[in-house]
Amino acid sequence: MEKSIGKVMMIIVLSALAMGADDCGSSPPPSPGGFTIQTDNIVFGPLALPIPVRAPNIEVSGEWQFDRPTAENPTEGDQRSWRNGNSGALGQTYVDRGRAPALWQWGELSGPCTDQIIQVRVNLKKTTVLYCDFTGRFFRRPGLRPTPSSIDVNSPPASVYIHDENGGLPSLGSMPRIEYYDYNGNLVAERQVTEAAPDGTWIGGPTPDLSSVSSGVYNVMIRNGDGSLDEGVAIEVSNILPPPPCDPSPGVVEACERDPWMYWDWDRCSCIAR
Amino acid sequence: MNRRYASIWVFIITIFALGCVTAWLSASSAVKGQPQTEQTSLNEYEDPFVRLNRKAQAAKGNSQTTVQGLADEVFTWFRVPNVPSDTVALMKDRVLRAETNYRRGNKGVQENRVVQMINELADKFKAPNYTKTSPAQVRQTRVSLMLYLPNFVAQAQPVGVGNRKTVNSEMSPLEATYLAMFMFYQKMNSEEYQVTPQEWSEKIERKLAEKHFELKEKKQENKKGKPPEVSAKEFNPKKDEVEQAIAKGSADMNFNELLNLANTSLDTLGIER
Repeated sequence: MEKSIGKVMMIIVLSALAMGADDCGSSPPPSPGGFTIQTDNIVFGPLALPIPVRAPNIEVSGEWQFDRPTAENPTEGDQRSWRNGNSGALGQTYVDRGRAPALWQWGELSGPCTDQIIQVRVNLKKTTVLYCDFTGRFFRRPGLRPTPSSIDVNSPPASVYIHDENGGLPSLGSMPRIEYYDYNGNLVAERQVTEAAPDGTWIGGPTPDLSSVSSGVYNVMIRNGDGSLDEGVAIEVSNILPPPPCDPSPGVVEACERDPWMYWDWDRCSCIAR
Repeated sequence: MNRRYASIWVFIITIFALGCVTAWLSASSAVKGQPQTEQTSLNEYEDPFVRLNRKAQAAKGNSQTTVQGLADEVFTWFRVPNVPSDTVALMKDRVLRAETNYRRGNKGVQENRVVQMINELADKFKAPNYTKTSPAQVRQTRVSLMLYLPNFVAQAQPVGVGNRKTVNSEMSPLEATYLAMFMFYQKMNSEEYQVTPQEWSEKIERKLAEKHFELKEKKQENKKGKPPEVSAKEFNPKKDEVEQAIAKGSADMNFNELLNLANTSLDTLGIER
């Protein structure tokens, strides 16, 4: 009898444990607060539009400043400081329990924007992006620049040069040429390279005829004799027709300047408000 | 006998309790955010474009090691969160095989395949219209990348179209994969790119007119320019919208569809199996 009771009780207990086991593996509730910091660089896209590219492995550090709750999201999270964070291979770091919505001050401790800080509001469970913006400079790649950086089709320079501080530009022996592409990848002109520094720090060639191209920014690429591309720079091309001589009809200028709020602009050849 | 049964119950309950605690602890540590993996040396910053271009240049010799290094770099650029590393490894192997065959003379991948892949993914995830791309947007992006990656992008000789030559639309499999992931990143993160194809055309027209006016007015930029500067974006509602669409779309797919998504995307891109 005792044996039977014992067996029944064991079955009951084991069954109860089995039913309870469903709750055993359930996750604890998510931590309050939290948000993601993403690190990107801003570079030049098509027609110099500023676009983001992932900037991985940037060290970031942040300090909470004050709460910025909203009607939908009261501030939560007890993490008010994020030291020695690294955005890792994905360019993102999750600030676990980070206090949000709030104003935080962030600094980048590595990369080209080292030691720069910025204050930005972070939103609960959302992503805030820190940018290192490279578009303040015209030249895409460090150490590489054209001379001139812009060409006026109406008075073009005799030659165009490409400089590379680090050397490595091709020699004349490899028969390179310089190709000019518009934003759609159309090859609008090309010229053989006629001059090159022995140390690879510059090459040059005669300026091609660009009279039929529109004003804009062009890719100027070096193509080696074996057909491979080498380096490239951006050059502005200005193809603005000179205006006709300003020759207003008799009395037009006088009529304009009779109005104390107006004046005649001979450069624009029109009556302009002061 | 009673004492013996009691000992057994205590033993069972103890094991069960230990199991619960272990399960709870491992679940709570998984709640943390993004793990940091594969960090490069924190003290040595190398511009990602410079590094990729350097590896592409090294791979011009076609040695297996350097081409593998280039493939590793391409896939490091665009690690996608929550995609298992095994899946990424399989994708990389497939693209690497295709790249090796391309370098031996096989055909490459056309730009319109990138358009197709991005637009198919947008449809699959029922993402907003502004996640769609166009041949013009892909081409113009590729041309802009030539300046940052002259040893990687647009390597084939220009082709003649009518009286003019143009950048060859054929790409190596690695370049095509990189461009597709680059476009994907822009659609996820860039307000400039989060526009419909029609809006993109209008934006380009406006930029052309602005540049023409700027040159006409002889407004010269400071060519030396400013050093890199930090800025921040609090919140991009379109980025949030795209992320939510992907999350919802993933939830609507069955397990096999999710697992095959990487392969079907590469099929659309034209990367041979």
